[in-house]
Amino acid sequence: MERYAEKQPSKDYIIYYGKRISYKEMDELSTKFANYLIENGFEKDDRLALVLPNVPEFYIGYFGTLKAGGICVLLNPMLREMELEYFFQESKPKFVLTLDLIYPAVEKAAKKVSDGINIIATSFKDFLPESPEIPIHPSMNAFTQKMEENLYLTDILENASSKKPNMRAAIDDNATMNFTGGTTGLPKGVYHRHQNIVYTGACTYTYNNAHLLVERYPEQEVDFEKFAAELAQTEVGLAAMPIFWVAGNDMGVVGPTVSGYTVVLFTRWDAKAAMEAIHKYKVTTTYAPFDLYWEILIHPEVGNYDLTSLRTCTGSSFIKGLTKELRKKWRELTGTILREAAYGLTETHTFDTFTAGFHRNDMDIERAEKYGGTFCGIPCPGTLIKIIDENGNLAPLGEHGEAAIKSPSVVSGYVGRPEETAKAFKDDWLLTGDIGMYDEDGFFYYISRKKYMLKVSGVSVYPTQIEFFMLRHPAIEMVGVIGASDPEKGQVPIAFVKLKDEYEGEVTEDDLLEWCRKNMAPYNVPKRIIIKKELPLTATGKVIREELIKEYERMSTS
Amino acid sequence: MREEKYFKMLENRWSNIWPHPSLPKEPVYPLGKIPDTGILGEVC
Repeated sequence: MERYAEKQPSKDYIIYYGKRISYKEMDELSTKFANYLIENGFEKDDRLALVLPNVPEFYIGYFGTLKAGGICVLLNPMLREMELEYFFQESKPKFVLTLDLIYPAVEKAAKKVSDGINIIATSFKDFLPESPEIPIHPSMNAFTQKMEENLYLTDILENASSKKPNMRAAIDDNATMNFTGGTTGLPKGVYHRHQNIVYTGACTYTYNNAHLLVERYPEQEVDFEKFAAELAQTEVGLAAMPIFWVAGNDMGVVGPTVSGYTVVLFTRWDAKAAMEAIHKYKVTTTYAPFDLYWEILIHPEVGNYDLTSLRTCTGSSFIKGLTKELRKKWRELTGTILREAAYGLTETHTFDTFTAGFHRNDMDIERAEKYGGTFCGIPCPGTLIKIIDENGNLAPLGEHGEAAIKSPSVVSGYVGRPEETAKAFKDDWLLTGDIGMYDEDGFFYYISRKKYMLKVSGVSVYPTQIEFFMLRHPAIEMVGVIGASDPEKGQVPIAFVKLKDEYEGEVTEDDLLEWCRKNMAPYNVPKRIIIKKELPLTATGKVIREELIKEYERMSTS
Repeated sequence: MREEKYFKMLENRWSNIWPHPSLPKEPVYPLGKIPDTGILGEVC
């Protein structure tokens, strides 16, 4: 941040619905915040919790904390009081920066943990322009009246010194505390060091645009540093995914800050607003679940916008997967390809592999279909991923096994949980709990979560693989598969399905079962398919299996 | 298979499928050396 503030002071760092904040301004704002923290007893390794949606204040809090030598705890702003209490207990923050609208819940939760937690409030209106250039969600007009006894970020920034703080974090110091395992038991905290984050940033800078090398200079040697620097100069990223979440953070905070490009920041996803922003600000790079790309493609006003500034579009197959049809339609609309982003997990700050440059002739998609997994490309240099069997032995190419990872960005363990740390971290390797495989050429695939592997009549069955196949049914919009005990087969898969609107009442559970029987191996066919109006989703759009398991238990006992 | 041989075998395959000859085989940090570490290679 400081280096780019010197190098390109007037360049836009953030465009927030028309409000522009330059690198120099963000550097000054975060310095002021750091000075305030230090003057008010914040010391090295103290923690500040950010309970914020995607707003510019997130960046002020993030970089202010790092400049003050502290650790930034990244929390979901949708958490409720009871959940916040758990996270405050785990992270023990000295300060919390949050939105005025959720201040009461944050305050109650903080008081249950300690009287010494200082809460600072901010408001949507503090950084929104009077006349937003891009339509905002109605909820962003809401704010609460200022209370004299509360602390407000705007007052702090008005009064704090902008002198460089007398504090310097080292590359090995902890920088952030992220939480993982939210859908599989109680969340666990991990510390990421500055080094982990810088390594991840360097990987995104180097490899995220590699498909452009392949497309523009297929047979030609080029000066990579010049090529990458020129791209960074014109790069504009749309940050519409939650930036408290590690993948959203890579694309919305780490990537832009390491590369020095501009972020178009969205608090709420909206397909029309996204098209307007891409058109207006000439956005070049996007990251979103693939469902959201479909939302744009089928939007009735899609023809009104020029989306041809886009050149790097990546996604994740959380609900809908990447298909040839989606890629073809996206290319017709924008002129650029769509591909899987990468493999990764919170413990590694994600982006452990890169997929760019493997899209020619849809090779990546065809291989994903062939192997029934998500194509993740190859590990970023410096990162090692091995596939091991149940006994910890290396699995041959083509065989499934647990993915273990070693890289400069892996955390050292789960904070305050020595037993879980000992189980997952062995001899410098992180056992990811993910089932993966390498194909004959060395491409890596994510297959499933290990704990969701079922044994159906002795055969290993992966729910994500079943979901992957079921999503090919034209009527299915979303699916979540769980395992249930079965007296004959040991375990059987059960599928919960949400139909596309136009198929509601038209397609029955029996129709879907019949389709599965026709199109899937017998052990992959769900014993039962249950059609639901909605499926439970995490904040990032993943189906929450635990909820489906509970629901199925309730259904079975009633 | 021993780990060393396993990764040697994978590295050979990655070399064969490397998407472009000009793509660096080590991540580039655009601001030069990573602070306090000397070179990026040290942390890779």
